[in-house]
Amino acid sequence: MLNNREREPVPGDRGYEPASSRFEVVPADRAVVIKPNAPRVDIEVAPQFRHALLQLVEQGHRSLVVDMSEVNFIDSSGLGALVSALKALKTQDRNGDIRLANVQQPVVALLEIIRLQRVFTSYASVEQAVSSFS
Amino acid sequence: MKAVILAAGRGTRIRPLSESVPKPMIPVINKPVMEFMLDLLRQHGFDQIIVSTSYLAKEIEHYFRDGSRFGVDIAYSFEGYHADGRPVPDGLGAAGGLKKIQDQSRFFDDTFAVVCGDVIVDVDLTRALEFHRHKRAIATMLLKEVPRDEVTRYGMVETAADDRITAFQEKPSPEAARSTTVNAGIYLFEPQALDFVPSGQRFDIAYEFFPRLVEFEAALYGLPLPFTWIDIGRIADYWRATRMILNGEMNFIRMNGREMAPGVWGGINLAVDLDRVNIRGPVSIGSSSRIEPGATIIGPAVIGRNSVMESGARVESCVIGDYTRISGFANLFEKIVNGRFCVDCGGATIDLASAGYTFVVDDARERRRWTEDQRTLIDFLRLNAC
Repeated sequence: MLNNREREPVPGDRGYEPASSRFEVVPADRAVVIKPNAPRVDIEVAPQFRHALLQLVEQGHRSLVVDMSEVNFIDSSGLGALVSALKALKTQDRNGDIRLANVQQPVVALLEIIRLQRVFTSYASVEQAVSSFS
Repeated sequence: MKAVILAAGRGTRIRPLSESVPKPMIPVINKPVMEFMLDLLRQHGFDQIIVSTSYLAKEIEHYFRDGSRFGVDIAYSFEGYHADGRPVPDGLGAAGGLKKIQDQSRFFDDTFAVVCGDVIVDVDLTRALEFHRHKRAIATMLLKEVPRDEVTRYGMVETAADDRITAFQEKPSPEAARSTTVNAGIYLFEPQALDFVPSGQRFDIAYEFFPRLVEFEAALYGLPLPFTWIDIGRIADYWRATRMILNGEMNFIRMNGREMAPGVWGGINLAVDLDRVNIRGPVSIGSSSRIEPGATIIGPAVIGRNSVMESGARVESCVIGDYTRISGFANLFEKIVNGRFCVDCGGATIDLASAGYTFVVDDARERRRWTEDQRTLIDFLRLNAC
């Protein structure tokens, strides 16, 4: 059962925003690119972020690029969303992957502290991240 | 001889290290920075010391008490008042604070020293006293040369050929600076110098008192002595001071504790098996800490007291505060970890606790409880990242 904090906000809830306005999803030739339009991926945004990522996995996408250019802070719920999506992806297809692009310095520092930079490969641009999927 | 340690500053530029302790209490190699100054004063015969306090005054008083542990007599002058039983800092400025002490008890009856509580120096105060007396000065300021690109941070001083101070220039641009000699924050005074300070009002030492002495052509001298001087005003300075001490570049400072292996100093009640951890000095570990087998510490590094480094944890070039638990997921490079905060040595801060990363770094006394997201991350890290 999802606890209250984890529940997806629905129309009518305080703070509800359609997920589409917070995340841009752009299909590219080798991957699908998702971009959070928020400087902070925290407890407010993370449930929708997780939902958006899992939806892409359910739709059959196996190569995901997260454009992190707007994000300068990600808390444990935000990283939890990324990790949940990666786990879901790997159960579907061992070769599926989530790669990051345009990761900002504060987020790079955090990924290094918890050694996740080895798990989520980062690229300097969306184009490079997309073309890394061959 | 008598001395005053100025310890009323708030230390806003060194946040978050000064969040819970006043700047003079910030530990450098597991010792409050002010203790270095106290040691220096004692070595040069200053044994009656008044500490002027304001912000978080109790922290200072509770540590230094009456000074007997440090071989000196210490009294305190609190700059502020109490409202509803709580102290409210209300500083008088350094000169105003000295005047308050003098008005109360005529404490200063001979040459006395005034020093900042937040710098580490190895200055020869005995030589400075000889200079002060030889010049028949009523005030002597110790001077320090700094590189031109750093002048914007300090008060510049101009002196005549006979070492008399003739002018000041506060924090000038490198182009506008008329000298690269700065006020080192260490002074010697005769009691009559305080006649230039008005009673019962705020009076700053650098901006008001010294310019007034110049204006009245009082015998104010500057002494340019070569000495090591480290201000811990900013995070980068704090890190530089720590590194220099650990690397033995400040040989007047003795490391605390016992040298357990070459370059590895430890306090008492330590739980560490040096054969089963990866330690490369210089490293200082505070008392009652636990370093689990499989942890890595690459110096220069300091581990505070009562801290825990779990198996798999890796710290390199870091200062870890007291009561801090570094989990096996942590990989810290050039960080200062103080309670809930993790500060990059360049100054950028990550509030790890608010961001939910207590499974990486937290207070060693906290009972651990994880949220669902944290549990997901922990399980994942165990399998994939360590």
